[in-house]
Amino acid sequence: MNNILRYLRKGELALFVIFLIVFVVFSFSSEYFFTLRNIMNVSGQMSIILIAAIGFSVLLIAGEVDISIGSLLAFVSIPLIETMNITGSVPLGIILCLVFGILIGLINGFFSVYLGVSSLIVTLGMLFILRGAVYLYTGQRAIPDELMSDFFFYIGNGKFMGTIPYAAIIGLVILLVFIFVMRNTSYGRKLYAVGGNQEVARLAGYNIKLLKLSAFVICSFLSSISAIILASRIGSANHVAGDLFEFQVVAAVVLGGVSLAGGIGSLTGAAIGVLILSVISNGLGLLNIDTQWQLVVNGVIIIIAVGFDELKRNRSL
Amino acid sequence: MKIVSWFLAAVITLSLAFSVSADPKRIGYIVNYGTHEWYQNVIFGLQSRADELGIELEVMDANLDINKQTQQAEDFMTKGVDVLIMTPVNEEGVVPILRKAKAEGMPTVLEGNPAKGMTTLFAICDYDAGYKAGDAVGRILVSRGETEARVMDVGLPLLSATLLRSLGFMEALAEHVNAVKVHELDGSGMIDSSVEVASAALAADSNINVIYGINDGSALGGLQAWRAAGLPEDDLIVAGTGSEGLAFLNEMTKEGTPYLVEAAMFPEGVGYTGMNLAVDLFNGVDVPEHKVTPTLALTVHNFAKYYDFDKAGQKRAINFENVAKIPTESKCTKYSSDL
Repeated sequence: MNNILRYLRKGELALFVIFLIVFVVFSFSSEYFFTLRNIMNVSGQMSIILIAAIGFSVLLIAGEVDISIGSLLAFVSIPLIETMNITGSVPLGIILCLVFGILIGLINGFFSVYLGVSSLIVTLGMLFILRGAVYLYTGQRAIPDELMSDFFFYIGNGKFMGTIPYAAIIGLVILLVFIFVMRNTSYGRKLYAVGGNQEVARLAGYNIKLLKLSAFVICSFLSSISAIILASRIGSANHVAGDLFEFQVVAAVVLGGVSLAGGIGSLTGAAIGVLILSVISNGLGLLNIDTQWQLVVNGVIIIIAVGFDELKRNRSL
Repeated sequence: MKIVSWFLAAVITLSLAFSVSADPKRIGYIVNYGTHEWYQNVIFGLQSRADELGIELEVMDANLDINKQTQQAEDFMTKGVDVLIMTPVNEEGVVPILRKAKAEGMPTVLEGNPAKGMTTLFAICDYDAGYKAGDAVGRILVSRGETEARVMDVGLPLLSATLLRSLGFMEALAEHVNAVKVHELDGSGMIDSSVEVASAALAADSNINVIYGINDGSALGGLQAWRAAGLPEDDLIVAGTGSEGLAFLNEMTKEGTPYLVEAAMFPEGVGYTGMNLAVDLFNGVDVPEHKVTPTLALTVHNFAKYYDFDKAGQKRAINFENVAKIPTESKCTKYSSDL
């Protein structure tokens, strides 16, 4: 416990305390909450948001935003499932899915960074383009996974030693890798610098455009991994998949202390943000609280978190 | 001999007692879209039967989010409910859930649409429901001395279920009169979209005498467009589908309304039947792959047999007993594979 506390920064510590409070409250409110099975369930369920949130945080830290990730989830799952159905190869489907993800990241990045269009506008446009393309291609019907491969099924549904969801393990590994990259490599520090003060970063000789472009690609690439896990969990490329997903990710990331203005925040904080929202969603569900209340809770959290972010920035000016 | 008889009687009594106490204690239901009137009435039916049987019913709403539905199914498995009932957000998306539930030995019942790997399903027959409405409209036309039905079909061509309804309606109609589909519209199943597309269609050709809607909103949207165009209602017949809520009853009970027929699907009855099916499945009773729930052509003359409608208080109460007496098909006349 001491190690955890030493590792966490001030803001993250506050978040961790909030998480503990939420956890304890639900443990006493629902007899099913504090069970190994439920905790493992939550860890698997949250991995989809967690992985996308890592990429989204990297991009926010670099001073840009991508709100097309929900539509991307639906879009890249089409080459994934179609390739699997046609060729019978899961790896080929996964590779194509990731390639499409990277391409979308490159397009978003090119328009935002090299043509200077606001990333909010570019990715808003991409959100509609991808969702429209999904509807057109699928005829608004889900494409089922006809291969029914055990390997693919286990990505989103299987458990290591029958206990730990593989999806949770994938999420944790990606989190640790990117925490290391952002904290301990010059690349990570450059992203913070670019997002924090672009002019200073330019004077320091950083290749701002390339750094930002790479952040766009990371964001789309990690969202594509989320798409693979989601497609495995729902056994299909689903035209409505990822609807409003971007807002869930924004809520978690902002709650985790990643600033919308760029240059501030950590992946540990973002991960705790995801954890808090996932635990709240799970706990409310176990208590039979209406799904609509969960939407309200998410909305309130976004407003409070962004409000705090604004306050912090105003004070530091 | 007397001792043997007593012994046998005791054994029978005990086994009966056992079979009664074997009913499930808790059942979980994941609705796909709980804010829709249809599903609220399905839940009412499930709850009514659960109350009668002393079963605790827990409901979660996936709110049209298939990922959420998957999580909720996992939550219900964690809670260890005795039976899981689901209305799939979409059929393909629940296949992994069914696989997981089977691996855990959890009995699962679907509502509405079949999915690969399911055990049993309770749902209406869409073709037959449309057919019954078409048959009723055909009879009215014949009684009026009409020989032709010129139909505006406010449909939803995206879904096979709604296509089947329209098909059943037209085929039944054709058995009575010369049935011509003048307009085949996509009203998206929503009243506002239906008004919009129907208005445009009527502007192009208003020479019709039948409006059919694949649900209540579609039928009422078609009628609203007709009225907005200022067209006479004397020779018009409107038929809706679903008996989803209060809107069709409000219209049908108006003096001189052209809304004469409703392909009633009794959502409360759907829920009631579903609960019985869940209990049967739990108790190891041999259940059908598709338990067909009752449908009927409802008119202003027979609706009171099935619904106690309080127009002033805007409430309706279903008569489960009479709905249960409606003869149901053992299987549907046509399925989506027949389209």
